[in-house]
Amino acid sequence: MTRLPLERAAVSAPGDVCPDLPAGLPAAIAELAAAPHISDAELVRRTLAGQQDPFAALVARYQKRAFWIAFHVVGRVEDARDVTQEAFVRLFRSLARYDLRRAFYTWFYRIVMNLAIDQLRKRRSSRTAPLDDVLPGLPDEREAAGSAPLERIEEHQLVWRVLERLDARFRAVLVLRDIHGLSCREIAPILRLTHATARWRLHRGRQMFRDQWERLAHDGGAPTEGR
Amino acid sequence: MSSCRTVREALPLFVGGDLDPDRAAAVGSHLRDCPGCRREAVALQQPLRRLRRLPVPVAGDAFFAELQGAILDRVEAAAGSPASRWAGALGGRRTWMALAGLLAATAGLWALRPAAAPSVLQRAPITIPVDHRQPPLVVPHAGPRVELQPLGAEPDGPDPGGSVAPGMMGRWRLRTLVDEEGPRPDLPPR
Repeated sequence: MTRLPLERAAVSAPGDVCPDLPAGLPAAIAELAAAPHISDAELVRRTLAGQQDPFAALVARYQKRAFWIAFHVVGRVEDARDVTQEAFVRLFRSLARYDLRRAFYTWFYRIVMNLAIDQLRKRRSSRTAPLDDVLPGLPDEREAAGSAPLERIEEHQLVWRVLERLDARFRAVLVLRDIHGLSCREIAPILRLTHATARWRLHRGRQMFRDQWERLAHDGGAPTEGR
Repeated sequence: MSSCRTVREALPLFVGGDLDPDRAAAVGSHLRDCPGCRREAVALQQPLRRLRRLPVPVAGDAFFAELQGAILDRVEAAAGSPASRWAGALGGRRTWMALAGLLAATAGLWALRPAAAPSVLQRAPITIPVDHRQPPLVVPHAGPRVELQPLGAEPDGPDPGGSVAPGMMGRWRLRTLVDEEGPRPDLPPR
């Protein structure tokens, strides 16, 4: 399993034209991806006109956000990487159907979420992976000793265990709202819900998260926060 | 003043900052005076705070550079596949509009086609000139022998046992049993 150090990185707001771009991009692609006056819709339009760099610039703009969202839904680096790659392939294949007047990220996040939820359900139905294997790769204790307190790591593991127990519908809303900071109005079209349903799932999802948290904390001794 | 029940209903959204300002102010005001609801709010807020602090994997530049390359490789492979070429060819709005126009034109031509000829069963019988001088038509039959005669050619007057058999070749009168030959005499009896 791929192990990556964990850190609370800043998650770019959806629709930001200039998120943190991956390093090492060819200059032309990096320039396109970072240009604030070139919208996502314009990159799509240029891709449909037959240019290659604009699509590479779209990948550069959105790959980290797609990966993070997928990661928080599926909980495993390898799966998140597969979902991200497949999402961009599907994006490319369906670019001609994109309505240029609508927000690109809503449309693209829908592809990512659908794939991630499918992946999660597939894994749950196969029941082959032990729980520890579906938790994200955590640094070993030697790495942790220098960077994060052990109880913080246990706390993160507990959060993952609670997320793992939630139904995919509720988990998806919690991930988008509470980890990635999208509003219910943004979440609704991504998950093809009404605004009221998105709010209801958020409401119910938080209740379920609290219930599971207390149950697991009671069984396993979750760290308590000083009040 | 809000009741505890309505406040607790609103707490999951309140602790995440998802209530509108007026409602949030009412809930906040209630929580200042109600220790029971405050405990409930804290119980919801603690795990939510942990969830919101959940870290994302800090992958190095090499990880995302490799991911960017892998994505573009896969997209390039997909773009060269026959399925993608079809998808690209069929995905354009112009293509779909052309297909829709072709379909509409076909439907119009179908609606304007000439009316089909009526069924054979609905046609009037074809009159065939009959030569009454011809001998009756004998129908070979394994059983009783019957004769068919053209209508109007009954030399012995109307046969009460006869029936009219309309057909494509004209109207014929079926003369019922003329005689019964029975088994051939050279066959041994059963």
